[in-house]
Amino acid sequence: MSISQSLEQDEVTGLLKVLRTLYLYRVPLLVGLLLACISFLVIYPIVALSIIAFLPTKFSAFYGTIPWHKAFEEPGMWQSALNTLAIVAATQFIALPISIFIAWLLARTDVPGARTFEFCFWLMFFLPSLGVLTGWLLLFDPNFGLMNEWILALGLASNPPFNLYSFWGIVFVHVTTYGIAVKVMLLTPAFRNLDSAIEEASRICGAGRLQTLVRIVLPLMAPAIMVVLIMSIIRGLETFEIELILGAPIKLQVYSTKLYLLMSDSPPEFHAAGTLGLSMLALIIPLILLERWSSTRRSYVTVNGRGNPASVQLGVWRLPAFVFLLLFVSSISLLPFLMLIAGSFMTLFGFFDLPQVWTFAHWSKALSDITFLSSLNNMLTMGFGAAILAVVVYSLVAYCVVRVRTRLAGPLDLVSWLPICVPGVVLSFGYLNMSVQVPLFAIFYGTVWSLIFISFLSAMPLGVQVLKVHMLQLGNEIEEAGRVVGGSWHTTFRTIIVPLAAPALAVVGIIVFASTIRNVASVMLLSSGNNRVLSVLQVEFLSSGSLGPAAVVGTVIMLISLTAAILVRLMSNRFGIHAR
Amino acid sequence: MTDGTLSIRRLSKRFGAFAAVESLNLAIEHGEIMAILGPSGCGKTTTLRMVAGLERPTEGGIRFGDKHFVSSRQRIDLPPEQRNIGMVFQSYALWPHMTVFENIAYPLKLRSYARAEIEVRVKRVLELINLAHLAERTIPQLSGGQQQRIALARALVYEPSLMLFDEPFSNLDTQLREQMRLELKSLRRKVTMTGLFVTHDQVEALSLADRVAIMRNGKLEQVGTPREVYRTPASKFVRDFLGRAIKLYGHRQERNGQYGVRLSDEAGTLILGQFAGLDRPASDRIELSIRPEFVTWLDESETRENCVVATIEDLLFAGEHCEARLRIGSDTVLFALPSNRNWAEGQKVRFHLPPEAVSFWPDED
Repeated sequence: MSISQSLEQDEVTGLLKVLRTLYLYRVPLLVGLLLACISFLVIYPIVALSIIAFLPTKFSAFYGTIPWHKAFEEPGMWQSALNTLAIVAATQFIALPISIFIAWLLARTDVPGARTFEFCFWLMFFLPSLGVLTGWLLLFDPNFGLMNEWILALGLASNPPFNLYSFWGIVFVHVTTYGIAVKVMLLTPAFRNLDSAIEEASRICGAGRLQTLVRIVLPLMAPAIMVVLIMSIIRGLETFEIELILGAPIKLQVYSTKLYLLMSDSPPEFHAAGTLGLSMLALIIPLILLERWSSTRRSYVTVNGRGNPASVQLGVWRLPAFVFLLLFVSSISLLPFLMLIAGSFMTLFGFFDLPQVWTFAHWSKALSDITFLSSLNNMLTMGFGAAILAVVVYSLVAYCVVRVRTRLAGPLDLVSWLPICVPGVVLSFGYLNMSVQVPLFAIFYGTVWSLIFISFLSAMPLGVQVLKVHMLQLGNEIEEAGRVVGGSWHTTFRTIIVPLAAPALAVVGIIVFASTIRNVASVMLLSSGNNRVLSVLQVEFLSSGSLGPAAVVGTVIMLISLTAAILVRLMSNRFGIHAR
Repeated sequence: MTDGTLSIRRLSKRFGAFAAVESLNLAIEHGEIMAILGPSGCGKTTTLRMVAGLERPTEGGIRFGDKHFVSSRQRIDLPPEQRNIGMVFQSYALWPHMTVFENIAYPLKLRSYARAEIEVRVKRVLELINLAHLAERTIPQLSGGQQQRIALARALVYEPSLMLFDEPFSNLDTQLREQMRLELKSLRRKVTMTGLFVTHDQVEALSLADRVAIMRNGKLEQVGTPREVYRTPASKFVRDFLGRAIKLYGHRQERNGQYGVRLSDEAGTLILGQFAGLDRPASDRIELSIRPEFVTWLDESETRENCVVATIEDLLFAGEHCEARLRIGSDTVLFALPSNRNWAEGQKVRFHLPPEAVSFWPDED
């Protein structure tokens, strides 16, 4: 009796001991758990990709007919790689000088309305590229584009001069969407942080405005320009939807569309697609490392708010510079946006000479269409789901990386940043494999959940970064004060960190939402039928030439994105969050 | 260096309704160094930037020798690169993407000097500031004091006719600042320099400049040699800005044709001195002031004219001196007592104010 009792006692104390140990180590355990989950979600798709690529073909006919070592013998594989590089090169060649010039105008000169223009470029960053593309079609379609018709009517040309369905058409859409906006957005603050005394010293020494720009300002900005250029190249390598729409009719494939095409074959060519995906990673990872290296190497730009930042007085050039910016900004943002809206109200997209040009038919049809409504519903579910998941997990990750002193913080930081290396198409391809290979994930296949996961992952590098910066700004002492007055770790986290970080969390949530609903590349392979989202529906409309309905969908996504962008801006300004 | 006087005439700068500089007149002779001294926001930096050409005056003109830098009447505004001036910036403004040598050589390159000539000149100026061994370093590798001297070298190397300094030592720690002051002083013996420098540090201005101009709210308060402005300040503002002054209050009295002030203590002590600025203030209430270094401490038994007896109310030991609050009648004054004696709270102290060092001011508020 007494023996069994003491045994029980031992068991109880043993259990208590375990529980107490668990409790003592709850913080490292939490970090470890986070690290394990995120590592699995991030790394497994890449591993799955490699496994699939190098699996012998006879092992399973299910994975396609082309073995990996013959992948690049496939017609169009090399061409797609070359096309990708050519488009990236042409885009950057045009966009970079324009962006540098605009950033310099906005940051270093006294051009009127600089802050407003900067805000416009920031808004442009949020514009979904498919919506912009649809707007441009109304102007530059070879058959009915307004620009073409005007030029033909004026007798300036005998054939339609513009064709958006071409190499240069694709480059044009790239330049006008992410090409310039992101660079201006990132370069303007960098230019602004330059101490104006640095320029003034050069003037005093005897150099004119132009000499100072060329010999002092540009060399000083070179590291920042380099980082921005590499980031843009990476983004260029990942783009998907512009080429999918504009490249298909002229059989112009890039990396990402080729991969998508290989997977749309029946049977899907897993091996070849995997090989292509891996070679894409091999191309991007060195670029990422280069970007990390050049951004940490040395920063010339001293953050010194001293003196008047508008150090260059434009004099007589002030008005021309303003007019240039006004025309430029409105023609690459407002114009396609207005065209898109106009297109959604046209009986036949692009035809202004019909008896009845305008109609509400597309809108009323869409609003009663079950496919449209379910896609809208899926999109909102995906957007909100990803945003909520992101806010909870990113804040934990950011907190652990910034605050918790543990050896796991470094790896956690690295893993949270890793998805930036993986192009959307490759990521979703990896997830497709994962649902084939891992039974647990097979449950999610074909549901909105798979889209939530993938959106959560693709937005992670940016989201965690924003929160990390915010938490670093808050400083250690606020939390230490909470601990000192007697709060435990989780009380402090709940009552001090979360309320202080709340605005930043909201901003991150909205950013995740906005980037999720316009994303095509990461969801295209995973979204069809039941879990189709609006952006995918838009691709389908555009591919099948239903431009009116495509314009309706584009307008809806565009309006939601713009609302989100304005919300982010208002909140960041109010609470001083750097949402960059 | 070309011979020339810098003359600033009726210079004004307004930002909207706010007048940063208001109708300023100032002349700096060839070979002279003038300091503009004043609290932040008094317009001193704006004045310097207008001389440099970095700010355009709303009105007025600046001439150097027979060269008009800027003139609102003649619609002349030379850009900074055509003024041939040298300037040392508060943040040094060295270019971090160039080495020390390249930084200093830049103005020479812009002036199309031959390569060999550039080498010689840069080497010479680096030797002048004792940093010849750092020529190939990059800027972030240098300490604050070294950066400061490189900035000076870059401004000197092309022998500009006029040197401008914008709070040159404010980013250095106290010890380094003292060292740099001595170095700049000895440099002046080697190089003839016409210069204008702006500072809010009165020690810097008094010790380095040939003349000091004190500015307040965009206007000049006083211009004079360091000794003049320190010993005979033209206004209470100048007096208090340049150093400590002990102030006592009383009523005007006349005795044997000499003016004195009767304090409101129990003994009704009469203090003799001079009126500052004005001959006789209109008001009867007088503020009496003296620089603390002119005060002498007496033993308790000693009695003399111009002697005051006070009680130590509070005493704070601060190392080289003791901060004390002394009660004299109904007034209290803060006073730094020499710490080589043993003072105690409640103690009566006796001190002597030499009449030639005492100045009377109208007590208007």
